[in-house]
Amino acid sequence: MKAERLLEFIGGLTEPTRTRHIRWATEGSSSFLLSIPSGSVRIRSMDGDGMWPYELQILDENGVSVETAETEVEREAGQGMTLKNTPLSLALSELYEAARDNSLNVETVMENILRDVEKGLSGTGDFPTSPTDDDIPF
Amino acid sequence: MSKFVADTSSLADWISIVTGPTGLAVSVLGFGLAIWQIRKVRKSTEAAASASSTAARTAAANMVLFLIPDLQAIASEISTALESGDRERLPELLDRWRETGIRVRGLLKARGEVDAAVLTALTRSFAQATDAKAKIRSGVELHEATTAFQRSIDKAIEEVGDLGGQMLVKVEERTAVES
Repeated sequence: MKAERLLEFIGGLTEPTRTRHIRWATEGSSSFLLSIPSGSVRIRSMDGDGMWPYELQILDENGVSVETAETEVEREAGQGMTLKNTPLSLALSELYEAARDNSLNVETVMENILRDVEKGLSGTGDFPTSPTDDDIPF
Repeated sequence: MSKFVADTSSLADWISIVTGPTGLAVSVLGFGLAIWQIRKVRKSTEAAASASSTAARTAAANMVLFLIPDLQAIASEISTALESGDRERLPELLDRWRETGIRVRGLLKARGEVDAAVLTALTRSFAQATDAKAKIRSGVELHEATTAFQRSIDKAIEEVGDLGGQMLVKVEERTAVES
């Protein structure tokens, strides 16, 4: 597939993922899957550590893999690899982060935590904001 | 000669006067009759096509109802193979899940409108079957390789089973009306 088309495809997924118009599912801690009736897209951290290199896999409606793309890296003998800052690598990183936040519902969790903290700080929450008689004094 | 022509012309005028409106009326009537017959034929053709379409949809619904227990049986066999650590048998079962699921999806599509949630659940399970199969073949521990897949088939069975229940009610209602 042409690199331009692939970039366009990834870009076309990233924004709706950020705005939660589409929902990704977790497949473990570092792999995320988007499924819609016409097919699926998987993005995963290849080393399983949540960091680059990332791999994108496009599957048809029968679950057959039809296209893959990977973060572009330079492999150096004895020194591991370094990330090549290409448009594809950047696009894959952005999609991975967006898919992770989307599937783990990160924004909602953060909002709920902040809301509870605000309730607690204003004294209207369920948890105490000042020491009570039940608190152990040490 | 000229008198004969004049007489003939006069006769033709009279014939025109008499037959003109009658002919027009007969033409209009004939045209109306033709339209009525065309409509009648079209209505009976449409009724036959509609009956045929309804029969096809009912047949598709019955086939789906027949395949749902198959999906459940495959899911159960997958669980058994996982419990016994049967690494050889699992890829074959994953393929069977996908083949049966694809048939269910085809029948649902043939039936007409299908809820996107059902199609999405099936598509997800097929994608995860592919992933699970690749992981099993590369030696990943069986439960780790199939956890996401198992979640996806549970969801797919739930969605298809729910739809199957609705279809069963419709088939029973239709049977009651027909009898």
